[in-house]
Amino acid sequence: MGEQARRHRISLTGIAILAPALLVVTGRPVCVASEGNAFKRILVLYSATADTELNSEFTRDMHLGFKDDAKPRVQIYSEYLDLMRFTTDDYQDYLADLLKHKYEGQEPDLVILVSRLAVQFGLTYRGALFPDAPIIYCAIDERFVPANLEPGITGIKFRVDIKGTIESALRLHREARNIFVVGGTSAYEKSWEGVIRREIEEMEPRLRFSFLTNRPLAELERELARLPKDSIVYIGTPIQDMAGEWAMPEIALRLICQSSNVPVYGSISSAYLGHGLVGGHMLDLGVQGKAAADLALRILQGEKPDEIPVSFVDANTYLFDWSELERWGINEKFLPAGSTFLNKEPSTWQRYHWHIVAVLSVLLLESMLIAILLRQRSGLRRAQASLQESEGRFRLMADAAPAMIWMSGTDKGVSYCNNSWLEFTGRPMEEQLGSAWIASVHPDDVDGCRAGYEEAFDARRKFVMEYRLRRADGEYRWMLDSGAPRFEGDGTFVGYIGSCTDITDWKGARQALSALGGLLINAQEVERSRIARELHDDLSQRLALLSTDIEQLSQQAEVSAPEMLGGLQEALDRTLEILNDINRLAYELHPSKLDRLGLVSASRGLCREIGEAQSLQIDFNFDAIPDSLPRDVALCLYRVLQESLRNVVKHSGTRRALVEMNGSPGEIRLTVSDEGVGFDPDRPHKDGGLGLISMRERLRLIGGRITIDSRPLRGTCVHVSVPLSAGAVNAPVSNEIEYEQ
Amino acid sequence: MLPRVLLADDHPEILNKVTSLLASTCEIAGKVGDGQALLEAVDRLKPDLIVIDISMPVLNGIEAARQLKKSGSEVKIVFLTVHEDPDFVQAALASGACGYVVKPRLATDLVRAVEAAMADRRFISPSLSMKKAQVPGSH
Repeated sequence: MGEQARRHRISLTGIAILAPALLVVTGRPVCVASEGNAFKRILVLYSATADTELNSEFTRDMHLGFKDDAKPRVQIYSEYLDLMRFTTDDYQDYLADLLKHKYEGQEPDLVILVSRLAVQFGLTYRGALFPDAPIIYCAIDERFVPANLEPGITGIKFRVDIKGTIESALRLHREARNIFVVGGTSAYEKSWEGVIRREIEEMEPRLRFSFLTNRPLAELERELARLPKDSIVYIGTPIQDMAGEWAMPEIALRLICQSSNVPVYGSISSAYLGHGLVGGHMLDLGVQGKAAADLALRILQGEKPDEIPVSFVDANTYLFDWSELERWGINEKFLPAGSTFLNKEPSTWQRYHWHIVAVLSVLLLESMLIAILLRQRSGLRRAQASLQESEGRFRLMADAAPAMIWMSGTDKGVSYCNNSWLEFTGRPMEEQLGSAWIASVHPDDVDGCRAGYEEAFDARRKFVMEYRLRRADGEYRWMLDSGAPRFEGDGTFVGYIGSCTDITDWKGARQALSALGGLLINAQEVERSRIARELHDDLSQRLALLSTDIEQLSQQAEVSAPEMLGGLQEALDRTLEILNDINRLAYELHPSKLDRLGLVSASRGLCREIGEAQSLQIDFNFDAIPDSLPRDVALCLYRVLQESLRNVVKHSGTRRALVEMNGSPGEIRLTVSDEGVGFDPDRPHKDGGLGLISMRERLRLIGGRITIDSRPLRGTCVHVSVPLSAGAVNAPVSNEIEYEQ
Repeated sequence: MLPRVLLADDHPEILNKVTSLLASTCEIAGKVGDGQALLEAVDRLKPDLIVIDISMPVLNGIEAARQLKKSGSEVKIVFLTVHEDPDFVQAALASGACGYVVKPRLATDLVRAVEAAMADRRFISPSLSMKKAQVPGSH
């Protein structure tokens, strides 16, 4: 009943007295709810004054929790009670009375009590002020949470981590043995001193704790300035009351930190970091604000407070002031993992490391490129020097060479002639360059020479050609010019190089030799023919007559002298034998059949004779052979056939050969093939290859060609072709005797 | 009436021998020494039969025989030669001849060849192997 009377007194007397003070206490304007508004009214009671940083984090995050789109919408009324400085019961009564009048008719839908003193006040005056409103308490250490709560009340709590802060400080100061705990003098602060003393008991064996409390600021400052080196300072709660001297907590903190000769750590709100504190396991009251807002919304949405248990919200984080760490030269590597820093300027590396990496990469790349280019340039210079030296050597060698050497570029024009060339033509270099050199070529050879060169050039082929070139003395000399395309290392075509040799003398010798060979062959054939004729036309005729005589004698002897018959018959047989031999010899010397019956008959006969004599099967096919051929052509083909068949007999090892003789306008082709052992045409045969030489020479005399296609074990095929000039074929006279067997 | 025979051979002794061999059975119309002279003599003397050698100067016997046949002459032709090669026999018969006598068998074969020719039969010296000279119409 006494309490009721006291409250009544307040209601009567308090308003006039406390009104000015309340203007100060509630100096911060709050949202004002208008009548009939759908907004829910939330009354927030703070222990401290509005202007302390202690509340700033809480208020900010609580407001964030009541977002614009929060359901329901809320209107917040904040009251800053300043219960640390004003501690009398009367003050609290007057305060309650003021609030009662203030919120009459605008009773809150929910009340939030922030921190210990506001919680105590709110719970004490709940019945008088807001008996029906649910209550949420918050920002209160679990050590001071009131037990046995009335219905309609719930809350959230935290725990100031005294030991965690001291331990983290000791990791940074392993040499520290003295811990000086600084605290205030007010009852609230004293209550915390008690808590700290209990917490540190188990740490005391290894550390010495000293409590710097109950003394004015000046004395405190003096003491702090003379602390032993192996010390650190710990602050458990914000300090306001220093033996009756009151200061704003942040100012007191700043003065304490400034005067201390050792680092100061604390487990108070993170809002105080930045005033000289190194750091610690600090409270983030914003977390409490946000949690309180969430809880308030749940209740306003209809959840019953009694069904929501009081929850613990961990609001501690390891926070350090980077500038203080640097100031005290503290090694950050011993800080707890996950520490957060204030005032930590990101290093140049942290701020710009991508730029730095990019710039360094570009620099590196550029350096590499420069290095590569320098290397290439040096390689190029070496290559150029080497090329120059090589070119110099080439010129020296080319100029010393007896051969006439020339070079041309990709435009076909001559770009260089050696000394031998210049001396031979008697014209200076400038009269050779490009296509000027052609002026020295014999007029009859210019077209062929140019065509041959350009054709080979366009096909990038090697070439060999003969033409006449005017010597310095005006005489045209036959040159043998061989050229070959030039390619660089990478295959790029750069022109031609060639050399010329004067072959006039050699050509003359070759012609003479060739003529001599022809003469020899002709002479041989003429002589053979003469002997054959002698044998056939005279000796064999006379022998025939002799045999006839003997035969007639033997016919007469049959009647007159029978005993002579045997002798005559024997003489006749011997005569006939001689006659046969002579005929065969004559035929071998010169095939009379060729003259009398023509090439086809003679060739067929030859095949048959050799076939029979050597037990060889020789197939002879012919087609479109002119009836009459020039004697030299027919004889040549006959002799070549004879030689080829002789080779088949001697070397092939086979018993079969095929002879084909075909005529076409302008030429006759002869092919002699076998499927024998073959041979390597590039290697001269054991017999010295005289047969082949004679074949080639005979063919050359009449402009024919021979190719021998043979490989070991693959048989041999001799191809011969002989040209026929239009007038060379005589009138066909022997066609009537040609027929196939 | 004896057949009129013209002889063509470049060897005088052969001509004499043939003359003596045929004297009793033929009238020797003339003797020539080469193929060209033969063509002229046939044209001029119009013999019934000619005995000719193959190997003769200017124009050989086979060629001369061809030309005669080509010009429409019906003179009968008997070759008298030392060539025993079947190709020659074949060529001779193909040129229009009806007799082929080898010289060493002159004494025994020539008169028979002339008689055969006058009777429109073919005669070839039996000493030649006919196997090697398959002649169209000969079998």
